[in-house]
Amino acid sequence: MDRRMTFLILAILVFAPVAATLASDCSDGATEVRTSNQYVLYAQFTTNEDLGSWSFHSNCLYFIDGSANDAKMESYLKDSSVNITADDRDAIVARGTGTVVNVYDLSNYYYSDQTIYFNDSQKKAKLVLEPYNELSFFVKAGDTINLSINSAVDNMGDKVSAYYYLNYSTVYIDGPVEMSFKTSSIFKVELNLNGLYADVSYSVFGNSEPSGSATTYVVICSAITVLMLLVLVLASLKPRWSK
Amino acid sequence: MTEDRIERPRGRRESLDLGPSEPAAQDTPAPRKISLKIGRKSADSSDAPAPQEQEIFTASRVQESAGDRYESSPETGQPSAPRREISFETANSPGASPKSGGQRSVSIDLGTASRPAQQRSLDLEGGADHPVGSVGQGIDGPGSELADEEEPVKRPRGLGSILPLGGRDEDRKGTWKGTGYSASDDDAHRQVVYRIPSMMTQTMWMFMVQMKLFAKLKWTYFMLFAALLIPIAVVLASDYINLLLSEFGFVTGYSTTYIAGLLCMMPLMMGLFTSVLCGTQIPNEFKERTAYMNVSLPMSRISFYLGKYLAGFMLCLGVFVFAYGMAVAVSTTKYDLIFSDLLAESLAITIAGVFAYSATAFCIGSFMRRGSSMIPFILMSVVLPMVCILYYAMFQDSDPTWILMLPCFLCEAALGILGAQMSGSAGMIIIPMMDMTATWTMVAIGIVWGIAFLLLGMYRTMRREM
Repeated sequence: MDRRMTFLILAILVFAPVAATLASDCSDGATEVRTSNQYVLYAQFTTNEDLGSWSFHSNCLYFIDGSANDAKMESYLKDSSVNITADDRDAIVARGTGTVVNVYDLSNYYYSDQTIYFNDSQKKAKLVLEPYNELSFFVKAGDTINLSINSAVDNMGDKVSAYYYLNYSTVYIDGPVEMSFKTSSIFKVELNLNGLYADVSYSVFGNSEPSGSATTYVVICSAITVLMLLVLVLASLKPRWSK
Repeated sequence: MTEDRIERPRGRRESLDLGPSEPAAQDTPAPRKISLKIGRKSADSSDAPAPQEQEIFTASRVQESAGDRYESSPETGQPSAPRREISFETANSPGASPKSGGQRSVSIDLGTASRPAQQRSLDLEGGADHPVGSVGQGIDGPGSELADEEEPVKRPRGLGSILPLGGRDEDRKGTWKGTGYSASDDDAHRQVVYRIPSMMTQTMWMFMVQMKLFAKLKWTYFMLFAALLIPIAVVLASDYINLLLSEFGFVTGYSTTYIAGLLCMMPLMMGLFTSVLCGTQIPNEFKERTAYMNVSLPMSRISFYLGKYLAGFMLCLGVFVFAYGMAVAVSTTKYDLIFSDLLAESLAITIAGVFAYSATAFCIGSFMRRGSSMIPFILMSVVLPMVCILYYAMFQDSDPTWILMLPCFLCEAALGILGAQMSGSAGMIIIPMMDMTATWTMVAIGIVWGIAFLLLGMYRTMRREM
C-alpha cells in the first residue's frame, strides 16, 4: 500500500471519532417513575410468645407466610411494578403464636453480616432486593438542568421529600431547581424514603441520555491498535538486503 | 614490428582500445604487435575496427626476461595459421625506455585471424561509444560485452534502494574476480542512480528504524499488557473491581463514568509511558553511539528527530487507544448505550495529551546527555500538577481556572468529560474545579505546547555537536 494512503487511513481512523460527534437528545415533559433506595433484607420467624410483647418496626414489612399480601410481596421482588400497600401486622397479632412470619427489613445500607430482629429472635438477613431506578441525571459540561418534582409518595401513600447535595450540604427540593455545571456531572436526587418504594413524578430539562453505540468505538480503537501493531511487526521484519 | 607505449589514463579505467585493426598480411607469418591504448575513445574515431575484425584468442602466460608475454594459442587446431600478438607495455617510470628494467612488456598472441564460430567474444573497448576489441574476463568482469551496449536506466535495487549512498550518478563498475562476490551480469553491470531521498522518505526510514527498536523493547509489551489488564481484571475479579469503582463513584447508571473508572490510572500511566518511550530515544542514540552512524548518511537532522519522535508518539497513541478500546469493550457487558460525543471528545483530548506529553518528554530527552525516563515523568505527572494545584489553591478567589488548562491536566480532562470526579494521579482532586466547557481550548493549548517543545528539542538537536 502506498505510504501516503497509509497515512491518510491512519489520520481518518484517529480523527473520525472526533469528527463524529453525535448529538444526544434531552428528555422533556413529565416523567413518572418508581424508585427505591432501599435494600430489602429478608428473614423468616415463627411467633412463640404473647403478641402483646411484640414490637413492629417502621422500616420493616411483616407478612404471614402464604398470605395474599405475602404472595404480592414475592411478586414485587420479581416485578417492581406490583403495588404493595399494606402488610399483615394486624393479622399476625390476631393469629397468635406458631405463625410463620416473613419479615422484610428496609435499609439504606447493607453488609453481609446484617441481621433482622423480630420479637426476641435474631436471624441473619438475606438480601433479596437492591435499590433500583436511582433518580440521577447526567448533565454535560456547560449544560443547565431544570428539575421540578411534581409529586413523590411511597407505597403507603405518604408524601416523600426529595433533596440533593450541594457543596456537602443538603438542599431540599421545594420547587423548580436550576443548576449549571462546568464539568460533566451526575445530578442525583435523594429521597427521604421509609417505605418500600416511591412513585415520583418529575419534569426535567437539560440532562442528557446516552444514545450511541459502543461497538463503533471498539472497532475504531481496535483498528488503530492493529495498525500500530502491524507497523511494529513490519518494522521488526528483517530487511531484504540484510544477510 | 612496432611497439607503442601504453598510457593509462589518469581517471577511471574505461576501456582498452585495440586500435585500428588491420588485416594481417597473408604472406607475413611472423606475429605482428598491435598497439593498445587504454583510455576513452571518441565516437567518431575513424580507426575503429569493424566488428568483423575483432580478434578471438586465448592467452597463456610466458615469462620473459623483460616482462610478461601472453602468448595466445589458436583454438582452431591449425598450427600453421598465422599468429598475431598484442603487446602490453607498461612504463613504470616516465623515462623508462622500452625493454629496460623499468618496463614490463605484456604481449598477447591473437592467434589466427579466423574466428571460431562458437568462441566467446569479449570486448576490450569498454567505452560508451562503441565496442572495439576484446581481452578476456579479467579486464572488466565477466560478460563485459554487455557493458558496451546501451543499457536502460534501472531503478535502484538492493542496498542502493535503502541507503542513500550518493546524490549523483556513480559508476560502480569494477573488478570483483576472486573477491567471492557473485552476481549476475545484469546485476553487476546495472547502472544505479543514487539520489538523496526526500525528507519525507528519510523521516519514514527513521520512523521504521525506531519502530524496530521499539519492537525489541520490553516496555512496549509491558504497556500493551497493562492495557490488556483492564479486561483481564474485570473478568477475573469483577466483584472486587465493581466494589472498588463504586467506592469512588465510578459505577453509576451511565457507561461513561464506568469507562472513566476503568481508565482512572491513565494520567499516571501516560506520564510514565511517554517518558519511557520518548524521553530516552535521543540520549540512548548518543549513549550507544548509534547517532554518529547517521552522520555519514545524507539524512537531515530534522528527519532524524521527527522520525524518532513520530515512532514514539505512534506507539504511545496505540497503547492508549488500545486501553480505550478495552475499557469501552468491557463497558458493553454492563451498559448498552454510551455518550458517543463525550467519548469522542475524551478520545480527542487523550490524543492531544499523548502529543503534549510525548513532545515534552522528547524535548527534555534531547537536552540530556544521559537518558532518564523519570525526569519527564516526575515533571509532567507530579511537579507541574502540584505547582498548579498550589497556585490554584492560593489564588482561588480570583478563580484561576486557566492554570488547570495546562497540558499536564489533559488526562484529567479526558476523564472528567466522561463524568469522573477523580483520577488516580496527582491531579486527582482537581477535576471538579476544572472548566470542561473549554475542552477544545485545552486541546489547542496541548497541541501548541507539544509543537513548541518539539521545535525546542529540534533546535537543540540541530545545534548539537555530533
